[in-house]
Amino acid sequence: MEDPASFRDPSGVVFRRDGVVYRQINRSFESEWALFGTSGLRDELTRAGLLVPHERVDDVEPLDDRAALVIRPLQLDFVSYPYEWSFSQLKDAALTTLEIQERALRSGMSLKDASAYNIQFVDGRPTLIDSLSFEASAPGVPWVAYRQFCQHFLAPLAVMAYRDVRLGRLQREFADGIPLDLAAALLPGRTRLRPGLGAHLHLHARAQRRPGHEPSTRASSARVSDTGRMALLDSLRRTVEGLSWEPDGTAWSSYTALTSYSAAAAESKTRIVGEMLARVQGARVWDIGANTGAYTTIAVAGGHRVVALDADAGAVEQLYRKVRAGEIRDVQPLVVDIGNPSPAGGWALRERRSLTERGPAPVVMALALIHHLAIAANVPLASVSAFLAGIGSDLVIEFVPKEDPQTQTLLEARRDIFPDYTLEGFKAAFAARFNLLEEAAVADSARTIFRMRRRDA
Amino acid sequence: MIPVSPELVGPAVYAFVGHVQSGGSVAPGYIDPGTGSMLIQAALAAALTLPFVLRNKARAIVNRIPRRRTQPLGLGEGKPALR
Repeated sequence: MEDPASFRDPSGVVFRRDGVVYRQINRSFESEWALFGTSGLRDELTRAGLLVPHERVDDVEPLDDRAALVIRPLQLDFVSYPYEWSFSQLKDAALTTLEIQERALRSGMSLKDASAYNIQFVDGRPTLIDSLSFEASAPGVPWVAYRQFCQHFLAPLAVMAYRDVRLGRLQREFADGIPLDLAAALLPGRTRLRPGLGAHLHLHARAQRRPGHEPSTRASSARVSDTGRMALLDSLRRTVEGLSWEPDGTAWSSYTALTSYSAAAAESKTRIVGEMLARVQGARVWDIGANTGAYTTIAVAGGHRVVALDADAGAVEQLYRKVRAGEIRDVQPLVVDIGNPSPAGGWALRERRSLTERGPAPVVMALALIHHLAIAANVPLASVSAFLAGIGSDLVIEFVPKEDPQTQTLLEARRDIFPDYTLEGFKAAFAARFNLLEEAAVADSARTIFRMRRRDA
Repeated sequence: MIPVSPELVGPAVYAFVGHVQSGGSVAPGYIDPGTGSMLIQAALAAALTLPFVLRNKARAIVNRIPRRRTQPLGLGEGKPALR
């Protein structure tokens, strides 16, 4: 079956067969593919961990008669999208793209696109997954992906750094990156005076607005020397490196430090979660509401690979920094608000898959989450149960009762319209879809943690 | 069409021939690079070239200056033996 996201580039097509992802390389791209190999670039990028490894397979039937050959890339557990990345994830992906382009130019090739969707995090590192993104570098021709790089990376990073990190979500709205005129309008006026942003965003946006006369002729007159190409890349790199954001002020990034748990409660919860995770079925865990990853760490220690989701960009940023520093492995931190998870998008709503379409988990961990969904977001318990049953078969979930200080805070300024939000109501709602296998009270608190398995699993 | 391959003529010639064969069009590839983007890129690249070259030369000169070796002043490993 052809991957619905793989249709724009005529060089090849991604397809799935028996659950395995393959990439067909079309005859029209065969000579470029050969050059990619003979130039040494393919091996160089793979060895450096910048390109996802792949192998040629001759025993797999191609998708159609356009095929020259078929390759099998490294199979990924989970595909994430740029609008789900924290600031540093997007920044590292940008720098990786620039490094790949620099190495490509030195090998006589060039990236023919610079889409952030071509980057995935493999073992915590940004890695190019599109092996077909390279073409021979035509002398004097400007980088065709310059605009795309600015829209997919520079514009979102700049508005996140200078305005608000939550503006990263704009990437969800625009399929080909944030339009430069919009980014320029959002940025503070002083950024016009910063050499990199002034040139690559503000001037660039103005250049796009100018009415073109005989566009193809004028554009074809643009020439760039080999040194000029490197100078442009160097400038882009320094501009990206100069953008920074610190997560100090966000709501949940300091949650772990400010939590109302006593030491005894924290220790008890840690032990219970560890014991329950040891008895779940499946190696992959979605930790929903992971915060800075305190319990993600427990899952990883138990041998699980974790997709850690949290709505707070600061918390996810902190967790990603731990991953990048090698303090924790097998974790994919992502900025996702489970109250409004990533929808499907792109052409025909099939180019980008929704969060749930990228499941099943198969193990879901939902600690200190239920009161935010049921009380802060007014989601009925039965609906939470149905949603979680749709993404995982095994569930480790914490019930936070009304008398808990955190729930009290949520109810402080509003009327309590949640008569069913009780331990009994919680059990009834979840028992409709899950078998309740274990139940353990967290010491020195009113909370309870459950291990459940979906009824049909 | 001229029958060439990258192995036969090398990457640069191969790319040049491909560029000519495509009618010297704006650029190869499949995405729209944008007319304004191509023009501003060419202008920026030209403007950035000299500072880039000078910075690289300055860096090369700095790297050629031998660094003064410092010896630890305190006791412990690395202190030159007293003669």
